[in-house]
Amino acid sequence: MARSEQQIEAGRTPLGLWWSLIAGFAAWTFDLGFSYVLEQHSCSTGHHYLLHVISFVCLAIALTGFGAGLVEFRRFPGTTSEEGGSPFDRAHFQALMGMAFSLSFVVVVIAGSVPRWILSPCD
Amino acid sequence: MAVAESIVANDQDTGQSELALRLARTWRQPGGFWGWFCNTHHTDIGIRFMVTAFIFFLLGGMLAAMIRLQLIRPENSLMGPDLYNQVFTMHGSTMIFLFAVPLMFQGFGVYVVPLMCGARNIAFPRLNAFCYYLYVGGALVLWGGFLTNTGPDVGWFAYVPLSGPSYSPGHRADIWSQMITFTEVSALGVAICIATTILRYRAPGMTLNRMPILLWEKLVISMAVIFAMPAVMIASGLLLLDRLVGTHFFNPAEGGDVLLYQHLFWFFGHPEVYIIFLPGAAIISTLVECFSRRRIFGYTPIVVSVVATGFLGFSVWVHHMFATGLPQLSESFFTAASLMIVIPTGTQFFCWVATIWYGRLQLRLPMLWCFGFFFVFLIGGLSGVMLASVPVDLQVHDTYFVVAHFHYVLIGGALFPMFAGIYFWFPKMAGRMPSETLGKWHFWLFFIGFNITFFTLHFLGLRGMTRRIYTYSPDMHWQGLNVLASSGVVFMTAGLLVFLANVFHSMRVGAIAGNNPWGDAGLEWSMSSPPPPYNFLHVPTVSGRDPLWEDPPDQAIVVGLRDDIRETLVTHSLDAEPQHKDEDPGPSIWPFLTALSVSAAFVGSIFTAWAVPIGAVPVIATLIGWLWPRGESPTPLPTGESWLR
Repeated sequence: MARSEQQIEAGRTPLGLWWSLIAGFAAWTFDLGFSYVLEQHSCSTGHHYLLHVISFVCLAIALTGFGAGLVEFRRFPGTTSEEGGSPFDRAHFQALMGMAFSLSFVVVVIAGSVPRWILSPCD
Repeated sequence: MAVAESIVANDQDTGQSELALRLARTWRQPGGFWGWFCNTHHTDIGIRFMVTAFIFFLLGGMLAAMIRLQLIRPENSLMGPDLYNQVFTMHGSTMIFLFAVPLMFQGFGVYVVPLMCGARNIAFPRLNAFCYYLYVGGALVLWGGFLTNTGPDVGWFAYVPLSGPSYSPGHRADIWSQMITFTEVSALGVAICIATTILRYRAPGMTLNRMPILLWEKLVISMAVIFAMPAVMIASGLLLLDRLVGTHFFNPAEGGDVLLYQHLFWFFGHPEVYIIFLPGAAIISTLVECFSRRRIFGYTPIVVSVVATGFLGFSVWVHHMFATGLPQLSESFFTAASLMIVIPTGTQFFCWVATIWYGRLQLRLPMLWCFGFFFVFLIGGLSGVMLASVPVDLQVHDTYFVVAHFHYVLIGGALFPMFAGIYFWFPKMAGRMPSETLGKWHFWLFFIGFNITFFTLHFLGLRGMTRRIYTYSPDMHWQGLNVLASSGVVFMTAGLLVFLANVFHSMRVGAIAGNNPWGDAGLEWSMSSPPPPYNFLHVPTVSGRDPLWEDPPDQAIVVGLRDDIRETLVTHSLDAEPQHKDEDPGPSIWPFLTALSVSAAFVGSIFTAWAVPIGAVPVIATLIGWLWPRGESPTPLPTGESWLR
């Protein structure tokens, strides 16, 4: 039995599953936080690309969350279900949630990145 | 489920009534005057939260009626500017801090969550009781100040510098600041109790993926409260220090920052909107499933939406500060976030509609209020999307358009679901059914009155009428719309009177409810109405998301909990596997005495900083009494699995 399956059976959440659950939230927190804080710096130094870099990095973080969720999801046997009572069913549900969170925050990060192409940080 | 199955057994107990008597004796709460203050059972404390908060809702509503009466005609002299400032501040503060959160989150949560989890009491019952008394203390301080002409007059968010020492001498703003500390500490404590109950007291089998939507929402709200409330406590604490000790946190002349206050306040303030809305959404999810007679459509998308809403709610606070001169790009980040939050909210909406669409709808009284919620909250949501746009926001900033928007959101998101929830769980609380006829009168009077009043305010706002003005000139031509808006109050008042009549009438002569009058699937409907002091004769187990609809008649039950002491079952936070037994601490006077001493210290600190060190003495003394070790348990909990049968 793989290590992650042993962890799930013992009532724990494997690292990959954890990452899929928090990556989207983390990506967007970093995106909003760093962009907000570095906007003035970006204007004063003329390094406007900095804000785009933040967007791309955060987008990548969110996508890795989706990837991690997908990898975990594929590990489970086909018999697991979203509402079963076993730890594997619970992990199946967590993986689905992780993928959904990650994809949702991919959309949010993209939405937040659009104004950077239109507005100048010096406005 | 291996462990769970090993500790459960089919219900073959033939001595049910004897067991019930023993449990009732063990879990009985003390009676009499002092007994009332010693009570720590969640059903009693939950109902107290609800009743107290509803009384403050009525008081806040009376203030709203005074505001509408004042504005009914130009240059009205019913109230002067000083009193008017107090009245609208008290109205906002009462509705947000003393009614909406205490009733929607604390009251309903404390009452329903342990029952839905299959638990015999809430986690940390004494902390829960302490929070109730602290909340009452804060409410009495605020209203005591108002009734002695020391009511706060700086708006419900008490912006600096208006609320600072230079522009608000006296104790009005101090009272507001300390009321915040009282009520937010109370909410924080209850959030810890509710989150712990959901994570550790769930019935075996109720794994993370089988938790009712209501429990998911309560868990998310609890987390939001735990992260949001400290921000406003810091804001009000720093304000109090500026005012009483002479610090300069918000004084730009000494290096302070006025906008820091707004950031701190709104970092709490916008999540607060979701702290108020999500309990409403939780009620709607429960009711839509029950009255559509089918499982909720899109369980996983709803859970994802709820968690995402709770998180996104923390990142839109700056949209309350669009008029403060922030850089355009910064504003656009928060515009994007504010627009994005529509997606999870919309997802929940579509799931509710799909549940109704594919179900067999029964239009009973609670469901009528759900439809009212759909209509009202949708309008509020749409005007919210408009306000998320910076140009629109700047145009209508601080006008009655904004007042109309947030009343549609808050009354739509909280009040309509609240009445739906009260009518739904009234049979469980009172043991009797509410009158459907009176309930329908209540609904239509309130619904019509609400829309007359608040839809009209959109137009007043677009015509330029700003908030917080105590009167206006006849040249502005606002009187007609103001008369119309004020006339709606008559309908709403009539509706509320019908509601009160319904409650008192139904409590006396309503039809006997039985265990599960609505045919709902939740565990809270598996016991008698009102619930016995021990809640469940046997701690249940579940084998699906809708226990009473899906579980077989011979569904296993937990055995092995003692009936001569208050034992509760603690389960694993993810898989709800039984882990160990815990002993409920039982009734105690100490939470009340501690709340009393904390309140005295808080109130004293309004007048002198010395109240903090002096007031700390009784606080520490009562805490020692509260936490004093009770000695070895007369019947220590067995270790390992020896308690399993």
